[in-house]
Amino acid sequence: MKIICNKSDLVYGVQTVQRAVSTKNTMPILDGILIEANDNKIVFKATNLEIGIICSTNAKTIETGSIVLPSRYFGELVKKLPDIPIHIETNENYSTNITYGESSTSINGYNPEEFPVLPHISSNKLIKIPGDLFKNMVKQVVIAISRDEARPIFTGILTDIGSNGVKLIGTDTHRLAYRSNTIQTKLEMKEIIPGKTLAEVSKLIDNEEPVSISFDKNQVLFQTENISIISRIINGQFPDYNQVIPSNYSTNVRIDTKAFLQAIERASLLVRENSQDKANVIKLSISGEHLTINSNAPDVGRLHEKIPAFIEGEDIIISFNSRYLLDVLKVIDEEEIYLQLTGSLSPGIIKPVNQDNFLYLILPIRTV
Amino acid sequence: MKERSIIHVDMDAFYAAVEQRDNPELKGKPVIIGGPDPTKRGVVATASYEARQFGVHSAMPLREAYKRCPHGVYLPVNMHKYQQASKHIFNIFQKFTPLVENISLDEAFLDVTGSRSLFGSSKSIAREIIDQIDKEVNLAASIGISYNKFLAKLASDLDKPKGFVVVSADNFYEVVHPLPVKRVWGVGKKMEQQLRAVGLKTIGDIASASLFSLKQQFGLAGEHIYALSHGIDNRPVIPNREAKSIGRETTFSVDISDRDVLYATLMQLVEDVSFRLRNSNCWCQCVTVKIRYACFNTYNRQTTLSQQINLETEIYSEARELFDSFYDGQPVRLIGVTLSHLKAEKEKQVELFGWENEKKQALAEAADRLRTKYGKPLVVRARGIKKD
Repeated sequence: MKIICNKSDLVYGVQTVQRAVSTKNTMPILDGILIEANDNKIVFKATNLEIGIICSTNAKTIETGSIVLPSRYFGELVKKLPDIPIHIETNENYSTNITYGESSTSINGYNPEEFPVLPHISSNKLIKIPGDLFKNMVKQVVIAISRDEARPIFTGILTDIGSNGVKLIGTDTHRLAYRSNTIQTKLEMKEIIPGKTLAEVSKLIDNEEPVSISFDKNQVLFQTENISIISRIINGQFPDYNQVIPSNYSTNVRIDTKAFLQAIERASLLVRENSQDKANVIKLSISGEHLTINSNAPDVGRLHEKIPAFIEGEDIIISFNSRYLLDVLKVIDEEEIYLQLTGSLSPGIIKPVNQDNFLYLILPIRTV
Repeated sequence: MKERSIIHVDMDAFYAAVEQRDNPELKGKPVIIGGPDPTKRGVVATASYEARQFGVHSAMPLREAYKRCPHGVYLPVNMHKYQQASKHIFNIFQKFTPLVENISLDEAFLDVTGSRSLFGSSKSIAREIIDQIDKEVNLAASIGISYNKFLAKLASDLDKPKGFVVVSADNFYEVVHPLPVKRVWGVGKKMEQQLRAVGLKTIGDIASASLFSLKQQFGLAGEHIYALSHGIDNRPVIPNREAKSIGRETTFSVDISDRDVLYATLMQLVEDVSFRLRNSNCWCQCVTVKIRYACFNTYNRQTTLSQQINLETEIYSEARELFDSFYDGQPVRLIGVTLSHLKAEKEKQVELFGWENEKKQALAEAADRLRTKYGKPLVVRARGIKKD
């Protein structure tokens, strides 16, 4: 393989696929980035076997071929190269010369034949979503997923596609985020996509460019013009989320998003030293024309905040994990939200006042 | 280290004393708590001092007690009543120091080192405590005062009932060294025999024995008893001692091999332990079932769960599964259930897909409130009712 390319294309390709490289691999080849030189195009590939990323950029191909280079060294090197044409040429024994001007570095690579083949997905189960919309949807849902690999379903996001459009649902069983959007499609399907994958895709794609998503039996493929991301799908039965979303409430609070967020942020500072997950339990008292927040960490101090709010229905006192409130308030762009409650042990609903397509369920904390 | 002041309070014949207090006719009579019918099987939980004169002591089979004291008054265990009294007593302790370590319903350590500047010497604090227990709860206690837990406990036991013994650095050798080795914390029957075999009969003997050979023979325990025999015990008084396990077992009046009766008993035990578990705001992650067959062979089986539970139904299903896994159909003399890996949680995150559980939790709490108010047997699960 022999190619010439400029620094920015090289950095773009390497940094894009590097997100799939895991440092904890048992197989050394998975530390590597596969580079394939075709006709005036080079393709970078990397995978940790959970997710695979493919990125193509422009280059001048003098001799086609391929090589696997260790991501750790090659990735760091390209970032530090001067901004001049860069020549990459492989020798026998997979040693590779990277030449820039009068200087060069040689890096030992691996046999490209040993690199795992990323599955080819060609499926007619395909949907296209604008990049900015996709990013916004994922951002609002990924906050609710679990990191606990013991229950894999909850580390994923249910992607429910039908004639009404796309719905994304994430939950860790303590809260649930639901986001929908009307998108023209004939596709009907429900799959659980790893939350990590969706988060990565969000980071990699452009706002302006649509992303196409296609499914086969066990895999999902995200594609833009230059980037393809392949991921496994999580097998299993996602619980019926419709059943747990309450259809009515006894208290409705309308409150300024920012004021509420800032108060919760202050309340979260008083984290109890002895609490297990360093999450603070805060108590909301809703009565009259105010929402009152009380947070009490005996070893640190106490907090009392009073925020004006428009309140309909019954007075209520309810406790929440402050982190769960913070997570959702950070991803709502609307100025005002509704907080809808039905008793201190039932799920509360948070949704933007002027946005119908997002809803967050938050389960309270039972206090003795 | 500053010399500490530790008080050990040990209630005298607690269960029996509570019964005698509530029924003046029993005063001066031999009262034996353990079961209403001494011709049936069971063990003595507590014997009043009057009964002890006939050689009746706790943990003795009821029938043996009956042989020694046929004219005694035999009463069932009324735990609810003893718990009430105990709670009252512990509230009194709290007035004098927050450093109260509850050992059981009728026994506690108090570290009053810092309280002396407020309430006077440890002796006067102890006198005040006995006074208040006498006035408010109308019960008697024995007191041991010393500079560590081991000696305080030893002291409270030296002059029962209504004992009041102080072990200080001044009288330590005189009081403690002549005592038999079995008085040392951690010396059981077996170790006592082994110590005797090498000529160590008293605590003083241990103190003058070679630390090296004690360690060689008994390992860490040897080092431990050596330190204790020199009056060294640095264990702190740990307040609000959290229970490590909650257990209950029962001996049948006749050996049982009817599975239905065994299941019913298992449910009763589960109801008791899960009630106590919830009462202490705890969840458990480990369930143990114990079976003792008529031949006295005893087996324990336990299971560790992936999550914490506290409901009867959940605990019963684990206990039943365990029971079925090793019960061989032979007649059973005793069964027991113990919950361990306890975790206290005042605040519990509600689960989204666990609505059934929330309802059950509320049901359990409602039942618990009834039990607390009217005594335990008021609300029972049908599984715990035995057919006639």
